[in-house]
Amino acid sequence: MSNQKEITKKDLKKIEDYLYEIPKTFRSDMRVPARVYTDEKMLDQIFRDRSLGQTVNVTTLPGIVKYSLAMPDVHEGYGFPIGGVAATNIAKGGVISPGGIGYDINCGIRLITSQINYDEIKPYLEEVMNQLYRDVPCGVGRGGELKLDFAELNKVLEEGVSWAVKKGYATKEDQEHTEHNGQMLEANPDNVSKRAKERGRGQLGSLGSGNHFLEVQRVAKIFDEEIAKVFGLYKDQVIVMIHCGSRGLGHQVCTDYIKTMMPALEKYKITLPDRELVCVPFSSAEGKKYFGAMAAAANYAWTNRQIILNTVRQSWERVLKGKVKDTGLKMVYDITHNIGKREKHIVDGKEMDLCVHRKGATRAFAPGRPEVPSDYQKVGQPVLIPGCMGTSSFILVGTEKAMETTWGSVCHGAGRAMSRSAAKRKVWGATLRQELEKKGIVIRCRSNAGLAEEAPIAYKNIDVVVNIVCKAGLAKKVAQMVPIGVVKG
Amino acid sequence: MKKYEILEHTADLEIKAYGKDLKELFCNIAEGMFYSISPKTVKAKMIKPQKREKISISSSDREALLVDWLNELLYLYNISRQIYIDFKISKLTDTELEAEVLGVTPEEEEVLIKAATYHGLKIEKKDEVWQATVVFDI
Repeated sequence: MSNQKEITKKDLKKIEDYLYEIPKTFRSDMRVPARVYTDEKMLDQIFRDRSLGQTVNVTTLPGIVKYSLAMPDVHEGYGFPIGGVAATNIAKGGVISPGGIGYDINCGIRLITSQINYDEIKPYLEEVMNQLYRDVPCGVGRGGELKLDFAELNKVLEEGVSWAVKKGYATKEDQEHTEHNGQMLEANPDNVSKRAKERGRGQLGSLGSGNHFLEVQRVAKIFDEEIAKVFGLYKDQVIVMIHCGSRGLGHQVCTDYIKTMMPALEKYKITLPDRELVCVPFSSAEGKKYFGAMAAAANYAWTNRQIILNTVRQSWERVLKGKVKDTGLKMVYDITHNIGKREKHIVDGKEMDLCVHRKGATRAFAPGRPEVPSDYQKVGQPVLIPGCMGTSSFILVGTEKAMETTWGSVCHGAGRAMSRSAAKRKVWGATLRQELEKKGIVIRCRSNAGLAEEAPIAYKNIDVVVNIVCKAGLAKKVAQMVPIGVVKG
Repeated sequence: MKKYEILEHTADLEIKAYGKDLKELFCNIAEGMFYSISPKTVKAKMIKPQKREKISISSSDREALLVDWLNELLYLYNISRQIYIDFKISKLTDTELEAEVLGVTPEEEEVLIKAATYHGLKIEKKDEVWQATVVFDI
């Protein structure tokens, strides 16, 4: 990092409203330019950490196509920035980088609609949140209820949500409304180490910790009635949002492959400005092996969120049966925001086979793409953007412009703006809890300190982030939600 | 001399550690990592160590060895749910490490560390003090 040139505002060229570029000439090792979707004000915030330097580092990846991208929620990560997107051309030696996908492989968001409105749940909200907090395992070191043997875990890794359907944890509709149908067929459980399996076998169905959460929300605003109807959304409806990933299994897969790929850098004559960007050609033996393991971890993560949904359904039923007219919970969609995917995109008029890295970025496919579920074909893929605790979350849909310019990708959330320790110095957890409770939000979490770390002040303004991607034409707003209950690990 | 300090990082955990030699540096950064996970356990050193583990690692170079050492300890912590509070490194070269570590059952765990990363990692000697900064994904 020390050898890297400092970036100033003068190095940025405005391409169009909300889009800026650091040209290829900025640093001699850049293969393509670096681009950032932002506005003037947010740009100041982005300059406060090293995220733009990291976006520039990504441009050095062999086989990278067009540019490395940073979304408006971009913040400093390790290797790639969080909010980073990069595609490499597989046929031309394009690489896959485990650090460009992250340790929490297939961390993602699941959105579920209830069939009741806010007034109906209000008298029972505390009871519902207590039940969810009791039933859904969360926090550091807490695993799930299921303890799988290695043979059964291998089936989860290979089959993902298809396994959950067979076992009765998922409906067919749940699966159809999951990105990639909750099963990447490239998964190879044999490529996942025993260590990763040891870490993951007792954690299925658990939230974990950090910024992971389970929220009960109320639909506060509908921007597009027609699309909202297709997704089964209406104003004042109660919905549930789940945010978590592949737990220790995914973390270990990434750790294992970063270690084994290091010696391969020399073999493929790859020079990088940051070792955390370690990568190998997608088509190489090492690349294929990692992709098989990553896909298996992704299948694990989708199954993890599915098992949590199954638990949520039981808790919901237990508290609300006989009290409200309908206790059903329907899947709207499940998206991943830490993944590498093999996708076909049009590059300069020609179809190209790409490895798209989305690190803290969400797929946002336009109407008509075959990957979009059949009942959403006409409107596009739901894009789920959680806000930070106590603020709004959004549902968007992908657009054709996103397909053309960002490999069908947008932001993944508000994006942090302040370190966890700074947040704890500025905010008292107990005061924050009181403030949120005054707003009518029921909080169930392990510690007030943990709550303070995730205080809204520590994040960028989600409304601004979402407005930038929408004004840049990458997505369209469908609905806005506000939290009424939070379970945090 | 400070053993380690927790630096400001927007989203993750960044620990800078010091040592009069490399062995001490490796031990101090490991202590900083476990302190971040469970400060109460690391502060209350009087708890009788409950689990002893032997570690043997080989890596391509010194920086890789440091990352592998920390990730090895994280793996052990995740499997055994032990916070390691005492580290005895018997062998340390640029590519090999052998150690014995003592773990205790944690009092309370505060932070979930996913992994130690290579991001910006450099082990260097300044004014006779060895130092390194490691970014952890949390």
